[in-house]
Amino acid sequence: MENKAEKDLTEYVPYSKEARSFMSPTKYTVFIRTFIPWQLIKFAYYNLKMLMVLSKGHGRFMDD
Amino acid sequence: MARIVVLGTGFAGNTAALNLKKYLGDRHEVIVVSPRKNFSYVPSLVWVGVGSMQPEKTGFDLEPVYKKHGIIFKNGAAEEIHPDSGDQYVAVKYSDGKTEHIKYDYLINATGPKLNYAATPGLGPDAGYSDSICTLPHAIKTRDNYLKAVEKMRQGKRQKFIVGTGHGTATCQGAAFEYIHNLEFDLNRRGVRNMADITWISNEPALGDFGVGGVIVKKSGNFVSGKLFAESTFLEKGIKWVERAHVRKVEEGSLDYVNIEGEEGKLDFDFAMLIPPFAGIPIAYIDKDGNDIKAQMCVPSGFMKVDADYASAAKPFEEWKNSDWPRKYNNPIYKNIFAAGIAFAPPHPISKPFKAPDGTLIAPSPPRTGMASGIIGHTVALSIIDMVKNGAEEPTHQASMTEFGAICITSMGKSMTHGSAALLTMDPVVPNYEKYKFGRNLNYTFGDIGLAGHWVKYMLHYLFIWKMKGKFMWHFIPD
Repeated sequence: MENKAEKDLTEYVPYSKEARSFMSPTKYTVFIRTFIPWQLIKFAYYNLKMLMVLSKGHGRFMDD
Repeated sequence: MARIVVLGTGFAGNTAALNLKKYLGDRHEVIVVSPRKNFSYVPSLVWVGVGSMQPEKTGFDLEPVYKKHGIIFKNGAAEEIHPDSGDQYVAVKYSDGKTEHIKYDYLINATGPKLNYAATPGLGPDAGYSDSICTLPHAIKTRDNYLKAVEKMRQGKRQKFIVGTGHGTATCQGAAFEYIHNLEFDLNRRGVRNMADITWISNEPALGDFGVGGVIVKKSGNFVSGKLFAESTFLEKGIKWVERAHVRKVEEGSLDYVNIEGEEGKLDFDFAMLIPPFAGIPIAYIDKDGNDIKAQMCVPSGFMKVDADYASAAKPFEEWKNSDWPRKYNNPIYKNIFAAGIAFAPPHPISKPFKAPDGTLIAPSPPRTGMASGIIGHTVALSIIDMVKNGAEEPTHQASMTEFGAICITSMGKSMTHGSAALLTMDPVVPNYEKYKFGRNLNYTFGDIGLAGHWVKYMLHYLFIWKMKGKFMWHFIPD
């Protein structure tokens, strides 16, 4: 499969607006983002992270 | 017996109504007023807009839900609020032209926004030249126009797509960001991506600002700005971008803009999806002598004043404080009227505002949709419950956007096997530079991109529709 990320890197233009703060995913990063076994672990991790934010609580009593 | 009237059936209004009825029971009356008969799960309209979700899967009829929970539903539009004690009521107009005066002991204004397309000449799907995904009918029209463009590409005609914000003070950049990524993903899926030029335009000071001042996260041993990640997604997918821009006007096939440097530009398009600025729903506020008191009740944009410091808007960005933001969400004059969700007037933007040299304001308005709306609606309901049941004279619950966190999921392609979304948690929503070096607690502020993010968004679609329907154990699902 064509590496879309590398294709975009060939369009990197030095000193362009984009080059000033350039970041683009590598071939591995693009792959791992849809690699299901790893994403299943990430799914569990995301849910834990979300529970952490939710557990901080909101709608607190005014006395707190 | 107390009567609580809730205006609106979005996240804030529906959350408030369900909680009020659950905890007040049959002794007290909860009335919901809305011109809409359906609940629309707005976060999924992005998918409707590219044809990857059927419209009927994004909403449901509210009447049976309210009937089941003992909530009285009035399918009409609130036109006037008469807030003076002894004669406080909402004047509601129905589609057959009849009106009703509904008295209340407590009122929650959770009407959501008026989509202010008129703020930019030529903006909008009804009287203008651009599309929108802010409502279900508009998202369906957007989908149809998008599919026409796809057909043209299949016939060999290159198409130009523009997605972003249609005014210097528009909000919901996140929704537009989702749409442009879903559009790019869908064009790939349909095999016509190579025939499309895609450009983003927004009023953000930088990509990834989203109207919340951007975000710093810990990543690979560094503190990294979300700007880099937002830009990287565009670089990866060949999407060009224009930032810090106010769209002056939209014409058929083109738009004119100006940026904070004063540079003027014109972008041609075959398809444009532009989010409009928001304003308050036009409701009149009338005192007992028949005087129009809207100026005392609302800010100029029409959103209702609550316990925020509105004088802080005149101060420079560097002097804004966390104490500017509301905590209890009741009106300072009429303390039994609350505003929840988008209906409340924020004290000022979250992001630093800028102006073009000619004075044009280019400042994203603060987002307070979705999770924030649900939290505020829930908090207001809890306060009213205490006021009714326990005689509290002041609201007993608080939820300042400078203290509570939020979870944002930005879809970047709908597919259970190769879709993607950016998941972002931020705590608090409004950066608190008095407490945190980078404005937020980095133990609770996190960002990542991947297929699992899409699974989360898909899960929340069904979870929140279940919750908003008030189904079994709905109240265990967090806001």
